[in-house]
Amino acid sequence: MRHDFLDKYSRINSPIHRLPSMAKLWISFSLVVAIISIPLRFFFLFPFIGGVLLGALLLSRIPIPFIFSRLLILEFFTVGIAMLSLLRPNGTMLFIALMTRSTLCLFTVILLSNSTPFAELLEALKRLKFPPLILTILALMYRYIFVLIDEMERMTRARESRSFSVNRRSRWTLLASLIGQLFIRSTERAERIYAAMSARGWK
Amino acid sequence: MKTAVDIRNLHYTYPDGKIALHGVSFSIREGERIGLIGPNGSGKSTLLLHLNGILPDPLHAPPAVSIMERPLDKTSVGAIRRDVGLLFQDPDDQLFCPTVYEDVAFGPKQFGMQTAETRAMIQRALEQTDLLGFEDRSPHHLSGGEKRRVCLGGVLACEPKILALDEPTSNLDPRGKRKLKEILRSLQATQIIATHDLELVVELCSRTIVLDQGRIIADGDTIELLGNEALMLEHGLETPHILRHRHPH
Repeated sequence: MRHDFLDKYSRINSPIHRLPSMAKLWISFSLVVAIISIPLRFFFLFPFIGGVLLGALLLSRIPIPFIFSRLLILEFFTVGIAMLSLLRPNGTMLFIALMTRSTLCLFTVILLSNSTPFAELLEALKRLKFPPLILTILALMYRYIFVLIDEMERMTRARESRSFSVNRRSRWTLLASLIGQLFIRSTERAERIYAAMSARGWK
Repeated sequence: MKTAVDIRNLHYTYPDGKIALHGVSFSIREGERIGLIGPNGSGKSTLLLHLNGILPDPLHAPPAVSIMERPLDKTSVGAIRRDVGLLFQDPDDQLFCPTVYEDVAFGPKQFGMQTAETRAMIQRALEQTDLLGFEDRSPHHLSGGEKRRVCLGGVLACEPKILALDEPTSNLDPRGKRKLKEILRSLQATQIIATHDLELVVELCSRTIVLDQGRIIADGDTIELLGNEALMLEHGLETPHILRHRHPH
């Protein structure tokens, strides 16, 4: 089973993909810092940054619906937080500002992660002297997301082949036990991975 | 010739109280290739984990295991992990790096080797396992056979003197099996192969150890042991076909 859907466009070929990963990392980082620190007086800069990002998106040949669906998923969380600002006096302006900033930041990061293979991104972070422990955690996370999705899929299939009722209640209980199973299996796998790492000299 | 592995009266009980190994003793000479067979749950994998001190955790005070004539204790465990290369059953447990190259390079890096020398070792391991051209691939994009070869490459890159292989041919198609056998045959290292693939044992190992319920049942010549049908059936095994009709195909 192959799970490319997470970052399947990160390995295609385009002018954006060909940029060195270090440069992309720096540009994205500066953009994010700019987006969160530009005072609201200069609001006209935000559409400009948005335009630059859209231009990069077009150049990158990543399908636009793909990027927007990603954005939509993450937007849920920011909307939730930004809503709180509506409760304050004069909150509307704050709400708009928060939404604009967070959307642009997310756009930047999504574009970066979909135009650079994850391994290269890690390599660039390493050269920037990022803490090795965080890098290891990131690398392991990326590596095992796919294994976990596979495992979840196998378990769901096995369950579905043996469950004949379509009762909603039993469906939820099944899902709960699947998640529990996945948790136990992941813990056990973590132990085996640690053993494998120790076997090759990890301290 | 040196003794590569020496185990004297090894006991192991799992934290849940299940006895896994019950007084196991044997020794292996340098360069030997040994088949370790036995039914599911007989303690094969547990035994392999003792060879480089992953188990017991913490290590026993009087060590039951000696590797290359050096007792395995707290002071020697680091060096012994270099000497013993362990190939795990599930490749996904062993391939934890983002790319093939990094995974093969993981061991040499941990042992703090010089870069030029390291690169040569990694290169050799990639060649031995026929992985040139795979360096930048990510492990989740590989087939089962390729994953297994990357695992072996990662182990070989540490240049171990002893290889402990846990089910190296499980889940492989016949071509994958043939390729793996070819690689194992070409290696000089002492090998201990825990497996249910009895034909593999017949083809590669001159000596076999039969393990059941944490005890050594038999230890001797492969053809003789595997040809003893009563013994094989009693311990959940069987005489492989390759021994039944020994005529040239």
